[in-house]
Amino acid sequence: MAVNSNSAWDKVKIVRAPGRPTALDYIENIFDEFIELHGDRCFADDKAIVCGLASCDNINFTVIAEQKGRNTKENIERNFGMPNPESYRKSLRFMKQAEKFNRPIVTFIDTKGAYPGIGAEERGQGEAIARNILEMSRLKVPIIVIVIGEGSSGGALAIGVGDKILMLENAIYSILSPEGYASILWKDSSKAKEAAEVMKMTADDLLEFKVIDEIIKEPKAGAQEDVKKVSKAIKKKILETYAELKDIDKEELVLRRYNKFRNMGEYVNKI
Amino acid sequence: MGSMGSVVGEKITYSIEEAIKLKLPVIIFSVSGGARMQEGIISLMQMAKTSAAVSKLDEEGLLYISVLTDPTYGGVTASFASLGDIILAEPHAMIGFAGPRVIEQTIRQELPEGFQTAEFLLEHGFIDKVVERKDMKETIYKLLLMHK
Repeated sequence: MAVNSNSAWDKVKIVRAPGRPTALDYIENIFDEFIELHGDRCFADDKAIVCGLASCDNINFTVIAEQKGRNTKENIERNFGMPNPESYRKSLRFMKQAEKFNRPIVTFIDTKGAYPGIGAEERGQGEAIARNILEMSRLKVPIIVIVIGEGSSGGALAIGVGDKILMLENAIYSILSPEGYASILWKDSSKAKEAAEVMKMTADDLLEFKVIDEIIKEPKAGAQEDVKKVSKAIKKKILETYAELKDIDKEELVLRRYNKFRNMGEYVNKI
Repeated sequence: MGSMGSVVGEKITYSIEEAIKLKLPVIIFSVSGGARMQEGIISLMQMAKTSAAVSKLDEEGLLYISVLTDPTYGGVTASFASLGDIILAEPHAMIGFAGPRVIEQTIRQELPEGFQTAEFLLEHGFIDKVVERKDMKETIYKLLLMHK
């Protein structure tokens, strides 16, 4: 496969550019039908994550997607795609429902991270993320995860524990933003470009680490060049992946998922 | 434990898996700034790995007591440390997901007095009990006896 010539920092710029397709842009193009459903039944409906039911080729899915705004107004409404705990609890509610109705789950990751705010801490941001990760690890339905833009921190992983992790070619996925990394490790957030190059956050890096399973190609200038084409490629992958996963025995599916994450950063004791 | 990289993640996961084999309860004392940034995505994945191990322990009906000490933050708070059947914390321990400096820089406001202390978490319903270190052993002992 031809290696994408964009540097890590080019990719950061591509996924943050105005006009980069958001989760809803893909959802509208991929699914024949999408019904958004709201609320965590505890506190609020946080709009940084969109949840709903969708169908494509007569298969029903539960869809959970981190949603950045497409303009300033939307960004304010959606908190720039940075979820509060209510978003994670809403997601968990729909994941449990998916299990109840034996429906596969598709999640779209696109966030700079979970929102660092006073209210978020008061309402247990850490607990909400932890709970989602735990529950996703044992959910008895197929989970397909797609990193479409920025995947940063526990805020991404909270909807990212799945059987197959797919990633758009220019998407990035790491422990935190390059700015955060430069600021914490080098005390200088202006070194974000250098940070991006050493952080191993591109799809190629992550495929090598086996953190993701497959890369979905994008046009050279990014998915923004042709959202319909990229949506078609994502749709094809979702359907192929679902076909691979659907007949696996539920216990086996959960065991494989456990082992998949179990093997990330494995050490063998040498006595 | 310091920050959580792949070695910490492996040790915790391995310990929980051993507990499952031996049918023993698990007690984890946390003190950590969070995931180890230098290890990048692999340290992020330790959150999934350790939490999945806690879920297995849970399925086996075994007790997990999580003890939070000063400080417990980031990827540790957002994984196994917040998943105890019972969560204890030491008085005044600082516990949270985002660090206070990051929050201040984001919202450009001063943080309220006592924000992210163990007492703050107790008040908001995220821990079971604040226990002084000198009473910790006895508290854990009594809790273990009630799970015999």
